[in-house]
Amino acid sequence: MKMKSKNHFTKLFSKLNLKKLDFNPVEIFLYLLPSIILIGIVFILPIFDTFRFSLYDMHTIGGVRGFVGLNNYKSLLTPELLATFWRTIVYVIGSLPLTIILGLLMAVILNLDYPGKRIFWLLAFIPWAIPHSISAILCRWLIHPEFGLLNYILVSVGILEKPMSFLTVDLAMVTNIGVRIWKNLPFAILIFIAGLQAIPKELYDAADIDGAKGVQKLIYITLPSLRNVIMTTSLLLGIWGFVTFDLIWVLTQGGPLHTTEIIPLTIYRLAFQQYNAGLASAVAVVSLFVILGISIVYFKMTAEKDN
Amino acid sequence: MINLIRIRKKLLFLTLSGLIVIILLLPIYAGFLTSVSPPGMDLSPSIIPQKIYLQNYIDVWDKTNLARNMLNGIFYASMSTAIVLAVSIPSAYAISRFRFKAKGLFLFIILSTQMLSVATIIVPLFLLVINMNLFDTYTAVIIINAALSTPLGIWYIRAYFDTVPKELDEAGMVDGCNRVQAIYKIILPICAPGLVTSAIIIFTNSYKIFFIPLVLLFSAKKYPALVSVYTLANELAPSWPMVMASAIITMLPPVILFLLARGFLTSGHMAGSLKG
Repeated sequence: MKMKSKNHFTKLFSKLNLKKLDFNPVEIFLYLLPSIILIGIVFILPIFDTFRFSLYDMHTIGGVRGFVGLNNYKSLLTPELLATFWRTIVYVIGSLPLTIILGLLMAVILNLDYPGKRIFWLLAFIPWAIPHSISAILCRWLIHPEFGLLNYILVSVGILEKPMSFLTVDLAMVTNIGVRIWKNLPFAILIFIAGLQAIPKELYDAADIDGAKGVQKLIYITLPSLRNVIMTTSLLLGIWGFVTFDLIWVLTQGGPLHTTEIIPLTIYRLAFQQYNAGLASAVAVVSLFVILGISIVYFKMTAEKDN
Repeated sequence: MINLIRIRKKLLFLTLSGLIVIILLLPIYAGFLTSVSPPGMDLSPSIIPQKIYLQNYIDVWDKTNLARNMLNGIFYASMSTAIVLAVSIPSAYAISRFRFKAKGLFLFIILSTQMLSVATIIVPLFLLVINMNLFDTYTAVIIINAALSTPLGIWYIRAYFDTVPKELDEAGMVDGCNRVQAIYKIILPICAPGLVTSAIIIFTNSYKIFFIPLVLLFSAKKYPALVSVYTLANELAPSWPMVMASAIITMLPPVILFLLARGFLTSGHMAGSLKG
């Protein structure tokens, strides 16, 4: 494999007249240097610092108070913090299936043959263009117990008898999951429409000749063709779910009673409201490993797809 | 007869699609409805506005700090975009044109940063900013926002450089340019449309960042509009028509840019690497 690419490499070079291409390592490094500095200072060094801080008893503003080894990690095993990890899983896994199913359904419908298709697509994608924090404010108002449009519609249609609060201890997580589904649907639809358009028309024509019905075509042609797209989209949505902050923070600030506090919100609370930087860093380290795990799966899958 | 069936079918598809769009736009519509209802009156909802009252938009612009905060947000995003372009053009060029051992690693790091939650590194970032005496400054927000968007910039710009044949650099260098001249006299002008699209994406991306200014800024007059709308909504008894008018004004820049760049975005070309 390596030999093969090397042959290809030399062939390419002889074609391009090697003398003109001075592949000086120093030159390459200089081109990369600005971004290495910026990304290094803002991303890479802080990751190492997070590991280091997680081993200390540390006040966010007051500084280090002493080395505590793995004590912060032991504190992660308290019911309070284990609940955070559990809630994060519920939030991510809870919003995924409906986003994918509704996204597919909506993509198939929006991709049907009707006039003005492009305008409808454009409108459907607008919620995706809005900043997350603004989306959360809009949703907060939509579900307002007294004046919200959602309550009004549900009562007029007869689904609800009287307006209700969607942000109670029992319902807040479900509501947040609903908001996340709404926020991500345009993205899922966008990817699925692109996927649908990549399916060769001939497949459907052949199925027509065989007398297949619409649903059969969906099950035997559309879904198998979109398998890869569905997998990669799920992984991306999963990662983004894991790192959500704005959407939940602006809607419920992790409340009521921490019922909607997932990992990034816990880190924020520990670091900037309780000033326990050590413990916050320990939570961050664990979440880093989880994200790394999902990312590696994602890279492997996209690499396979490219080959 | 067949025509009639076909028309009915299209009408059904149109209705279904319309329904989907209505569901997706409902929260925005609800916000809009409230933003045009007179403040202090009964806010009981209705599907159709009783009366279009645009005074809220004027009031929010004149009587609150929204104009200033909007300007802050646009300023942060523009400066970040300038930095991102300056930093990522050379890197994108190197990745597109040179072969080197660490390229795979470099690309992996670039992509990984897009998966990272800023929350996981916020404590060291916060301390870095404090130690450099940059807490509550424009500089801190601009630099960190720029760093957050740099991977995106490198990724997109590289894709554009890849579409330009290497022979063009060669031709320029044969004619006596050095490589840097070849980049800005030949490659950049050819990639101009791509660079504009990339700039739009980077601008939108940094405009949407909420967490960094929330943590790194203290004075309300330095807030970008995203944070000021949030604080407005969190007041004890917010005037919802005002909040909604501010929210709608605040979301306009990314929405307008999205509509401008839609040809690129809906092509699904690089949709897989869009950050949410």
